[in-house]
Amino acid sequence: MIEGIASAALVLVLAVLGWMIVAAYVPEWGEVASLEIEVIGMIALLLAALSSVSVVALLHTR
Amino acid sequence: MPSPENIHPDEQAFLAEHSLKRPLKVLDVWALGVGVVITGEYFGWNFALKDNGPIAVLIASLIVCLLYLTWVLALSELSVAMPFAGGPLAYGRRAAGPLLGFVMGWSMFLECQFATIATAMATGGYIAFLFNPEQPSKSVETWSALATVVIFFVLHVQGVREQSTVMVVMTYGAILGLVIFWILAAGNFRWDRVWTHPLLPFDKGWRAVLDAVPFALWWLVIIETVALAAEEAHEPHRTIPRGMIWAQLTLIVLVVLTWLFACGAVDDAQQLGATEVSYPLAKVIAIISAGKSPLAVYGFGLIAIFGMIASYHGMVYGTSRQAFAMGRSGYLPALLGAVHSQRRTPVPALGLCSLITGGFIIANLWYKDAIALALLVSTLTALIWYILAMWCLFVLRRREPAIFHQYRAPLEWVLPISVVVLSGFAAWMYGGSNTSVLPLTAILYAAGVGYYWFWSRNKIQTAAPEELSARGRL
Repeated sequence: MIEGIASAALVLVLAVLGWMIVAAYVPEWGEVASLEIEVIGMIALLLAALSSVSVVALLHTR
Repeated sequence: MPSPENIHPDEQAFLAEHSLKRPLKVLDVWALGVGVVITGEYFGWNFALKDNGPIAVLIASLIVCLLYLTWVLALSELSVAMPFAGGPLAYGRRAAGPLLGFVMGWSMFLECQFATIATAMATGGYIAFLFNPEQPSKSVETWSALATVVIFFVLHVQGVREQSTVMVVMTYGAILGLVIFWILAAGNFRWDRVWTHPLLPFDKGWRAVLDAVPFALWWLVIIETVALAAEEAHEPHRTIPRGMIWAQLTLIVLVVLTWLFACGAVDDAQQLGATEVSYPLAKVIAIISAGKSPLAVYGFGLIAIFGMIASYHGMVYGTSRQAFAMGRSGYLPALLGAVHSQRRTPVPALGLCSLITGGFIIANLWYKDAIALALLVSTLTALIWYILAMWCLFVLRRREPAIFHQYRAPLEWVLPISVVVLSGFAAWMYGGSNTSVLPLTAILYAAGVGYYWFWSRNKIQTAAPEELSARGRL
């Protein structure tokens, strides 16, 4: 279960990095919400991915 | 371990003559992992703040934390399957032959060597700051850096057990230094300095995050040195994954707290990003009200040196072990593969690495951007071999799944794919924002591959463990 969540979070991060490159170089194409919402969403996603992969890593090396 | 029926007597004699001891346990591996990287909390990452601001650096740092968390998980699998001091040399050699082995080994050698250079110079910077916080002297910085090189050459020659004990103590000291910094900086902390308006610079937007990534890599780069310790680890299938994961998680906490308090304690965090600031945490202390107390300034500066030399210590370990393994296998001059007859330490490899570092420290007198350039070369060469290592993992998992029977990383294929994409993402940023580092890196690779192609490829030592492993005999 937790491995599935971690995998999904990782894949989502990879996709969002693609969006970030678009938003960096062609801002008018990449705009999906206000900058504040985009930043909060990005930080939340990265923290979720870090947390879930950390839990998987700890369980795996018990 | 070699078994008598597989290994010829002359090969056994070679292995015995070039063998290392195996004293390292989980705590030693954790200390090596945290200690070798912790310098990234003390300097280097601050260059990312220039023109980008704290929030861009936070996002870049979290991306880098995720890259390194996935990387250490995947690397543990390779390291346990091929527990040799050559690390990447062994992975590339086994997956695709000697040329890839050389390129990967050379990449890690460059990564460690340039990290060592940058850290030695920054150690000198912190010591010079201690002598004169108002105007640190360049000559004190240079002499202190050179003294660091000599002291740690002597220490490493003594033996791996001795240097590991010192590493554990210095790692505790380095963490204590950060805790003191957080406490002092917390007294001057304000949220609005971190959560700025606008969150990202108006003129750059999300481009600020991309520009911050190459320097944010310095938070965590070189933890892969731990993989080289597998040949000296007791029960590597247990000690390496546990030690690496705990080290990585410890470091992620240190990264977030150090970023938070450094950026939240001063009015303009971007001033910490100036290229001449090789002692950003000490600078924060000097700026804030706590810095009015000489005890705080000098006490913190003194303990901060633990952080610098803990990492320098681990980097010397990584550089010398990679040079040793490449010399032992014949990819670099065979002299580098020799070990001291009683202490079993790679003295010639240690001597070469220390000489190169000393030479660059002296060159730094005439080139003020040397530290920034050295750490960018280090991180770029690191990213190159991360991607190559994941390709090796793909190939070997498919072709020789039995070698991974002692340890398999979680998350199956998502893990190496994530490492490749995140590394590619970070490497691509160099093309966009740090073009000056590309020609130097290209020259270093051309020199290495030229040496391999025209000289060493016919001199490879077939009895070296990395070579025996590649032929499935070890």
